[in-house]
Amino acid sequence: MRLKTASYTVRATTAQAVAWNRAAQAHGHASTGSWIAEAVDRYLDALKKAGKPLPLAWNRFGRFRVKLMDGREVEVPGRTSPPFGIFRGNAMGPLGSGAGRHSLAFLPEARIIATLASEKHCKELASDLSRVWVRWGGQVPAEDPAPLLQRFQRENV
Amino acid sequence: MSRSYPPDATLTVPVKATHAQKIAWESAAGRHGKATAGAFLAWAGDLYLALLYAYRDAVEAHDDSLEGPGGAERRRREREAARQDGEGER
Repeated sequence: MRLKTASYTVRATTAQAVAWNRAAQAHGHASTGSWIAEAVDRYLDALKKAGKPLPLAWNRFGRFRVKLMDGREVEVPGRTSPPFGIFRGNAMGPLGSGAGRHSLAFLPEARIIATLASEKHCKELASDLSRVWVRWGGQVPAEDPAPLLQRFQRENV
Repeated sequence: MSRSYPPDATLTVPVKATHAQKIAWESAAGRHGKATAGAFLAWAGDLYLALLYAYRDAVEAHDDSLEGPGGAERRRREREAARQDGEGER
């Protein structure tokens, strides 16, 4: 049994009180307050699950080509989950094992999408982008990915 | 967006919370722009019901569409009778 440590007073109109009371009875709650508590917990739980990134399956030992800032196109080792690839390095080129920077690339165009502090962040960004990709039927989306990228760059500071 | 919810409230409902719920609700109230956890609870309770009814309506409409026009009318009568029975019990 969970110990109740706080108490709240929820103000309601008559119409709300009637609707909540009915719902509490229909869902087998002894009081309207306990129904509200469960409803709010369920809502917050659903909100949390909705924001979770979709985990993509990553191949550990892939090789793919990326275009660097100086115009060269090089092959790098990294993880792949088409159409994405992650390699250790940045737009200047691949870095050694001690380097903390990882870059997410869009494989069909060999384009580096973003350089982030960790591989984990690259995977999360790929997951978020894949939602956009799904909405666009597997095509490169026409909508601006800047807000998504800015959020990841901000969280990496 | 109103920070107090609902603005024309006349009744009160007491809600008890565990320590974990207290933290979660007060944090969520801030994120949802509500002045108090109580205002957030009222708003979330209404939203939960609205989502629940919308979900049920969508499921019923889908089931009706599978049964054809005659089946839809029969199902509507069954639901109406069940609703009246439920109100009679209260």
